[in-house]
Amino acid sequence: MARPGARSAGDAGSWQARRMRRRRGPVSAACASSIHPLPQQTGRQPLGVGVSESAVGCRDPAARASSLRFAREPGNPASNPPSARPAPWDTAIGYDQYCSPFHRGRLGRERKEDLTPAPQVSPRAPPAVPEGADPDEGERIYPESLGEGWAASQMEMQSLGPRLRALEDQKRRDEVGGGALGQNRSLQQVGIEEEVPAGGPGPAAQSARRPPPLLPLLLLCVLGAPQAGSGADTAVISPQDPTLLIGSSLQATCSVHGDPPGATAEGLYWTLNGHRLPPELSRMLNASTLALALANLNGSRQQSGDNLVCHARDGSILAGSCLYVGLPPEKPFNISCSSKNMKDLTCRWTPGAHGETFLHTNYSLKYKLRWYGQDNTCEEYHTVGPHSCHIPKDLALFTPYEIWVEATNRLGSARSDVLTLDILDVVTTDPPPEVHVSRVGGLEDQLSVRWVSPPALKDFLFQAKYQIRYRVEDSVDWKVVDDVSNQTSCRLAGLKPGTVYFVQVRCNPFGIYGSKKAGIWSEWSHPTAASTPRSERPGPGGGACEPRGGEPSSGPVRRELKQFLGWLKKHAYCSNLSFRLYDQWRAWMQKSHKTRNQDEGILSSGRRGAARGPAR
Amino acid sequence: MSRREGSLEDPQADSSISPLPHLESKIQQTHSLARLLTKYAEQLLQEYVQHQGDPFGMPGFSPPRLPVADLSAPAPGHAGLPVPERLRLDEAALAALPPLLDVVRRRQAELNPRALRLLRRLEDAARQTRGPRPEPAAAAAIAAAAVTAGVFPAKVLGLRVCGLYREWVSRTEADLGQLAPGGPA
Repeated sequence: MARPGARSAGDAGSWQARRMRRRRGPVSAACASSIHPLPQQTGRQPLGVGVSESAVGCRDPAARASSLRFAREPGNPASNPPSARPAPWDTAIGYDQYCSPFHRGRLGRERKEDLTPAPQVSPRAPPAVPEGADPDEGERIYPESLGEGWAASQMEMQSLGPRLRALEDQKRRDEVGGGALGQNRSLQQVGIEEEVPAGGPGPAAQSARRPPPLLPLLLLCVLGAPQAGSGADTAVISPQDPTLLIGSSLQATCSVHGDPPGATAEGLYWTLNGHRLPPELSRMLNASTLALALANLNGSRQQSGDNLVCHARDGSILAGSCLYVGLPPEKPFNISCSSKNMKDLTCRWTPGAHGETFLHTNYSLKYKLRWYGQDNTCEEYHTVGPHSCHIPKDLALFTPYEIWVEATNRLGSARSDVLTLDILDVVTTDPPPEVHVSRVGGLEDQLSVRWVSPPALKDFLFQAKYQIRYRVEDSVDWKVVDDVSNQTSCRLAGLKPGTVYFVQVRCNPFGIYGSKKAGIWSEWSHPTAASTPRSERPGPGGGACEPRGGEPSSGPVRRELKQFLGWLKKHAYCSNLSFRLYDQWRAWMQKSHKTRNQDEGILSSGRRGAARGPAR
Repeated sequence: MSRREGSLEDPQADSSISPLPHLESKIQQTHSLARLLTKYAEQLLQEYVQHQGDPFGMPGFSPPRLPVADLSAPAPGHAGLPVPERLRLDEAALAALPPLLDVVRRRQAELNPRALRLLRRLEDAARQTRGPRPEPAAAAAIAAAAVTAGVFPAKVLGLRVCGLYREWVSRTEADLGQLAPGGPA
């Protein structure tokens, strides 16, 4: 039904359809209905819920909730002007504008230069130190300011001693003299100055100026040599910290040096990773040396090395050596790279032999321009997984790069095959922002999805294609709408009424700078949810959302209807026929049903009232 | 004239202002910090032994308690000393710890490069106890010795340092607790 003053439905549809096509390019079949403007002229607000999980750009629900809470609390350093330096005691718990309320990494680094304590700290209430605070809530909990506070408190502590003594002395004098303490005196009046050591020596520094008597002994101790005059046996294990292949054998010795001389190896025994080794593996080479023979060694239990320890008869530890048993690295493979907005390069790879070498293996990503230039080494590792690296600086375009990975450990090294690529061939973007999902008027089986093209694409001479996926709220199965082409809106049809759907969109920047190659799909956007209207008609089971018989709301029926409409337009001179017209008819049908039901209800109550008699 | 409790700016102005609340407040704050540090020191020690492998962390594991330059464990008679002396010893010990913790962290960065949480805890511990005083000169010598030492002695040294850190922070908390309001003065 046309409204007064409005264009006729057919004219509006064709005019606006042409405008939409010009704006958005070719239209895909899956989003055919989206070329028609949404029924905003009805004057009704969209009924979609439009819930977005990207409210604060944070994926972790718990941290997002905390972030929201902390972001709104007063005294948030993120909202304070940069010049305002929060007092140490106020920030015992780190307020932060980031996802986790306890993460202070960046804020701490920004304030590193501020790590000098204030000579005077104004009195305030004690800081709200959390009882039983556990920094292992996944993030640091300790702000830089605690170091400042501790340093300041150390200075205060140093002054506390003299102050306390002076106060005690004054108290004694007052008691002797019959006066009251502290009523009419300040610290200055009793002759106590704020003791701020102007770089002067404290007790530790004073002791440091004396030659440390134990330093020579320490050096001897850490090198395993006997302590002079200590009266204790010491020993040396040979070899020290050997590196061995899995399955190999080891011959080790423990030589005892005693004070007084003449210590014997009698009674010594070995342990490996805390487990006592069978005596039959040991034998005495001589009076002061116990030998050990191990065969068919297994891979090291920890990357810091297996602990082989020589014990005295009483169980005390005489010496230790760490064994590194493992495998040389195998060739890394499956290198893949992507460049976000042509400004950087992030590469991933798979370590050879599933990465298990039992030894710490260092992976280094190297790259160079193919025809000239020197080797460069990537420096930012583990950015998108354990075997990844990020090259952040601007890279050359229209020229190939060679990229490879080198793996190194104590037993050897290996190099991957070289990957050659042009940055323009591996471009990806951020996911489309501002994804909105809303209802389509009263249509109970449709939702409209709109998004914005990623901002970086504006600078690039290429096209973009999009993909949409959606799922029912309590399902893990996504349905993908593949052929969304270059437009930034789409209408999902054939949905269940009264159902919450989660929707995501991603982008592929293909045809960049005239190239025909497809780029790399972006990540999916944050899920956005909306619900389809609940069905007005009572269905089977009372209020169910099943359509009536013959109601063409399912996908196959809708396709058939589309074909029929197309045939009609072609053969029956009905140029105004379109899906939009059909949708309007359906909305009108639902509305008229609702009105009829309401009228019947009023009519029924009116009849009942009349039966009761006129009102008094 | 506004009155600021505990202010030292104008001692003549209001003779009724007592300096004790300011001191008590500082003591309370420092005691709270020490309590938190004690908890973190416990966690650091647990994390440390976990990454060194057995027998570190096993019950009954008792490596030689090597003396560390400029730092030893709190003496048995520490609690019987006068408060100022105890605080002085606490402060001296905490001032000696940061370079030792740095040495341990550097060695662990070689032995356990993937133990990010351990390395972070060691870094935090060194920073949290670092004060304005110059660090003891023995630190450089300790660092040099630790680099050349074998892996097992380095593990033992780290265990010793983490243990000393825990002992001294715990000792400091106890000493300050006696001074804090409500404690046995």
